[in-house]
Amino acid sequence: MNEAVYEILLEKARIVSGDDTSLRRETAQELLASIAYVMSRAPAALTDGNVYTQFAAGERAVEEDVRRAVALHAAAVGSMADLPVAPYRETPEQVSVFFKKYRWDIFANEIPCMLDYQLAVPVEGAQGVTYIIEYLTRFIMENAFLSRFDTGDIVRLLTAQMPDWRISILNIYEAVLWSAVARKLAGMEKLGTAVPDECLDRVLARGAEKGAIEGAVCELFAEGAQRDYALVSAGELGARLAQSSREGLRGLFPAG
Amino acid sequence: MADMDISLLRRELLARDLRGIQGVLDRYGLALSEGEIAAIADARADAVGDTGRVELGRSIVRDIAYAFCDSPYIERDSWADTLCSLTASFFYFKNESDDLIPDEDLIAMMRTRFDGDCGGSAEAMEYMDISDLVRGTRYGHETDDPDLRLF
Repeated sequence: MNEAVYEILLEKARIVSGDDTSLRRETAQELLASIAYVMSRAPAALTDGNVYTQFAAGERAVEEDVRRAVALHAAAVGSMADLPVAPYRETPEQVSVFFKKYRWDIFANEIPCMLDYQLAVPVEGAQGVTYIIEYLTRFIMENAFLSRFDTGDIVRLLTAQMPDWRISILNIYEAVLWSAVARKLAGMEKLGTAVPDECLDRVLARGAEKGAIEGAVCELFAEGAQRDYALVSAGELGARLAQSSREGLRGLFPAG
Repeated sequence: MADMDISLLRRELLARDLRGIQGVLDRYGLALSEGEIAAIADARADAVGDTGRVELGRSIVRDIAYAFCDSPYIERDSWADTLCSLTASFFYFKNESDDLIPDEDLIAMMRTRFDGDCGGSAEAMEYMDISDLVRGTRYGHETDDPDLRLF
């Protein structure tokens, strides 16, 4: 083990165990994982081989990330759609739990909260506050899209798709996006979630055309991060349409 | 910075710590030979590994030796073996207590039980449960204090 990393580990172990001379191997491994995460946050310009410098820079970066995450949390609360879906509504509270429990000084890589509500494009591979920042960023993007729709239309869509929608962890944004894309495929210009019976055949036909779904997404979003996110989220729609019958589409899109 | 062999460093630190209290041990006729120190270092490494723990910084063996050297039950012939056994018991109790009992308090309780219920037998201590160890101490009482609990 690198001598400097060992010294940092000793320092962090003292925070956890006080004057004790030993700790559980798992705890030591968690502390090492935290040290690795913190060092990964250091700006590239400071990775000059000096471990102490890199670690200190990483800790400053993590602290700054926590401040960013707090600001994003406030923005996320303000962005939410007025939808009575429990896991969705509980998301800001769970992020508050993260801020209460997060120990950036010793377990910076951990995510001490339960975010049940699933994003359309889940955050993968991220740790600690980095995960929270990315989650909130995507959550805000999804809410921005949802805010373009009438709440009643969204509720009708959810009701058509799942009887227990009020407690469902499934992603609302994806459901609304897919409906909006289907309407575009059917040639309907106005934003909404319903797809009339007479449009279903056209949705199936157009959905099978190469580039049609991507084109519909581009009509819904201006170029930028939101469009990129939507393109990923709509990625599975083509396969789903290909597997669906006309009748099966009623499980995806309400009639209106 | 250079990479270090942690296990080698730990052995050297332990040996240095024990040599550091040889003067005190000698007062009780318990000064350790280099061979005994090496054997204790091996036993410590085994005990740490067996209990899934890691030692960081100094070793607890010095503290145990210091705490037990004036026990009326300690004998010179079995001193090194007793230290090895007590060290293993110490790490066992640390795990059983979920690290909620500081080293110093744990060693004090072990010494009390060693001289009392165990009649000077380190082997008897190996069969002791954490609840027996803390009985009658502040760690063995029901309490509303969230930092303490009944073991």
